[in-house]
Amino acid sequence: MLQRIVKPGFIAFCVMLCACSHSEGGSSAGPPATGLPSADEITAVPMGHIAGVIDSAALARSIPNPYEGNPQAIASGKSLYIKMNCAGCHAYNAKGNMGPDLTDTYWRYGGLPAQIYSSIHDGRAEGMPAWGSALPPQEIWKLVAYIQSLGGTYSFDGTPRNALRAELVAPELDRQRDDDGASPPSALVQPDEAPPTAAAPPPPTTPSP
Amino acid sequence: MHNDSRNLSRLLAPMKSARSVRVADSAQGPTRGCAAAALGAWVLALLAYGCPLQAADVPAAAVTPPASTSNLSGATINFAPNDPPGEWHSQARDSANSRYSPLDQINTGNVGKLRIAWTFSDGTLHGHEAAPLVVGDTMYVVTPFPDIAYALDLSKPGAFIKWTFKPNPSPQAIGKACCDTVTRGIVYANGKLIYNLLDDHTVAVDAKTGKELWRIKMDNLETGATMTMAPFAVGNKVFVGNSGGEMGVQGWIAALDVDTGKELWRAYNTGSDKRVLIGADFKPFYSWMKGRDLGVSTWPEGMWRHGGATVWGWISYDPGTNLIYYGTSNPSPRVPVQRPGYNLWSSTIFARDADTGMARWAYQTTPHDQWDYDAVNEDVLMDVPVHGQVRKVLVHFDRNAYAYTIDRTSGEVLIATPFAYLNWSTGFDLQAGQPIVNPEKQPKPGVKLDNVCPPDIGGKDWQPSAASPRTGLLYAGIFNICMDVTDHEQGYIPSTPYDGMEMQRHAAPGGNLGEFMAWNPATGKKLWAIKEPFMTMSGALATAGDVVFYGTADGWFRAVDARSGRVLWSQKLASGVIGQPISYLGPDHRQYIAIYSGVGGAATVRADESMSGFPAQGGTLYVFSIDGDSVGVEPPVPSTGNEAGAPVASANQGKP
Repeated sequence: MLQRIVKPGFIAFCVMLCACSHSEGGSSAGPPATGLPSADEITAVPMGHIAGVIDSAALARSIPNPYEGNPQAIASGKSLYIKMNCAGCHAYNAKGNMGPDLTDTYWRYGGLPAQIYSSIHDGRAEGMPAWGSALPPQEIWKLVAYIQSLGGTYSFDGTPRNALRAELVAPELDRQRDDDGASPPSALVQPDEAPPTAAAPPPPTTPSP
Repeated sequence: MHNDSRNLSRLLAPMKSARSVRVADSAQGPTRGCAAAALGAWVLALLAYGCPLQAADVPAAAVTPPASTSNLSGATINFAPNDPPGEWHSQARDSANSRYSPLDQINTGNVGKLRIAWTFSDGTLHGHEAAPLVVGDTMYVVTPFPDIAYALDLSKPGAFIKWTFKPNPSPQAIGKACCDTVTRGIVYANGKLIYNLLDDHTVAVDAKTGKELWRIKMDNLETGATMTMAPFAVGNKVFVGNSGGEMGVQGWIAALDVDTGKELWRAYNTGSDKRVLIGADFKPFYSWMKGRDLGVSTWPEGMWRHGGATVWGWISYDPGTNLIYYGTSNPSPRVPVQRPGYNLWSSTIFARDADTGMARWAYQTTPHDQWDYDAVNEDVLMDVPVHGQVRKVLVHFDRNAYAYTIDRTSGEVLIATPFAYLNWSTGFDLQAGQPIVNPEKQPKPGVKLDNVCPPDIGGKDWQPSAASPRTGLLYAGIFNICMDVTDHEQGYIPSTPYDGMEMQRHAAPGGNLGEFMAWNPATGKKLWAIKEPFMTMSGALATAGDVVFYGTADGWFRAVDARSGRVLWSQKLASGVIGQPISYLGPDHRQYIAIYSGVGGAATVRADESMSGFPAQGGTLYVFSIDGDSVGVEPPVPSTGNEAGAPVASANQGKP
């Protein structure tokens, strides 16, 4: 069917996204049983250091991607990556063009799942659009799952996915390196169901036109 | 699914009615013999298409060609506005876009003695595509984003900075620029330096003081539009255009008053005739450009609104007819099956009245472009004898790998022959004025199409050619590249790419990515060519000393004999060369050659993943002279013999 050019509104987006996931065949990647992280939990994770180093403050609030490793979510995310024109800026192989490489371990605004989510949701200063108004949260998490599958990100506990740069991980975690990794490092605080009692997170930064 | 065969037959319709079709040779056949090899040219000189590579080690006693002053094409050039011969006021030097310097202190006899006189680091990385300007005893340069301008005092040794202008453009523009955060330069007019900021502002700066005089917002970043082109001035008018053919923007060209920045007229390149400034005076030569509101009807419903057709390349001007000439970018999206039709006025060369902007004629070089063949490359204005009659023409090396000699009064194509390897077309139908499309090289969504030549960046991209009135030839860095392409159907989302072209580029047959060539505009033939392993994406410079200059993506800057193609001198620079070289006279009446090094832009195709030999980024301006002499440095005094073998030191270094 010939693509018609429709100035997309939010509703049109949702319709297109729903149609896309049905047309892929098989069951679509629905929300995980545990539910999605709240907006407060996401914005509580500070933006990453410029050098891509993960500090303990960010790790303390880090939250996992509910879709991480989910094959259907990753496939959905890849489809979104092309249809939302991410490939236009970041290249079809995600190695970067107008926008940066998403497969390396350098993340100007942070490489934890929640930090990548925020970069997509809020947009960034050098031209990354703010997709929060156009994409529902689960779709953004699926995009994050796809990007995570490319190997350049950090797990929510700060472990580099491709295990290249152990020294980028916060010093607190180094003390845990000797165990078999079965128990989560004690420096981490897992967010519980109740919203954190910390001060209200800063409003999401949406770049001005 | 829409009907592909119907689309194809619509494209081919003009050719069916042609009675006699004069088809130029396609790239696959050899076009000339190897006679010129008898010149005994050095090292790498070789001819187009099928001529065997000459051995690299030519004996020193090889015959040098007899000195020749002949003009090989009979072409002449009008150098209006005839600026002082030692100065350089605009990117192309003159309205005809000759990029020819009348200086000849540096010539084929002494160019081997070129050495670095001084260098200037501009503090910025990314692709350095602009030429410096020289007005009086000051040089002016502009950097890639953040678009800083510097004035350098040429009267002082070392040419220190006189003033710096920091416009602080919005970093949002960075993520909208398809092809690096470049600018293609400044124009000097009425004591002002005028250039475009990446974030869609045109700015004028007082050349003496570096103070901002006016700044005009010309487009909106939210649509994905940026501005990268060098403004072009004629009298009291300066012409500017936008970028964003990969972002689904609306392309336009506008004229501003040089002194105030006031917009005098603006023509869009898609939409109704009213919008495109097409009126009663519009007389296109060929049938498919005749009709009303073709900028709407040659697109599916409404798609002209995001049709691209931007103006990010060069503009030239004929004072005899008061017409400006420029080309438009590819159509959006870069998925042709989404937009059946000719997609006017994308990939089109326009002639417009400089005062009113009204179109006089148009010629679409790639109707219904399917490969991203923009028409923005320079139109060099020359008077050339063609088939026995002198014609007022423009010479245009298109992205689609055809070199055109076009009558610039009417838009009639006189000559169209391939200058680079191509297989997207099987030949050129001069009767219809269109290339014949190879049906096997038309991309379809979701299907990987291998080995389409040339690739999106073309047989030649924006890197401009230079013309010599002495040899009658043009000189250009071109590409020998192909692509494997897969299209993906695109939806339009504002401020994101409206693109859909996934591709891998690789070398065409021969294995070299680049080539520097000499071209005869009267015959449509290549005279000689120097193959380069890396891309040749710098501008060319021609000089009265019969030396032409070019640079390579891996950082070599070379001087070449304009007649024989022999490389006379090479210098490795700090980074790859994609800028435009110039020549000027310093306050010391000495001739200099200036060129930026700083790779980036689209010059990033490598031979393989190893990228062996590909340089890092940089931002250094190099200025060369004979023996590296410059203001404040006396020529070395010969040794008096007091200390055997120790020459007396050069005097007066740094003398004010």
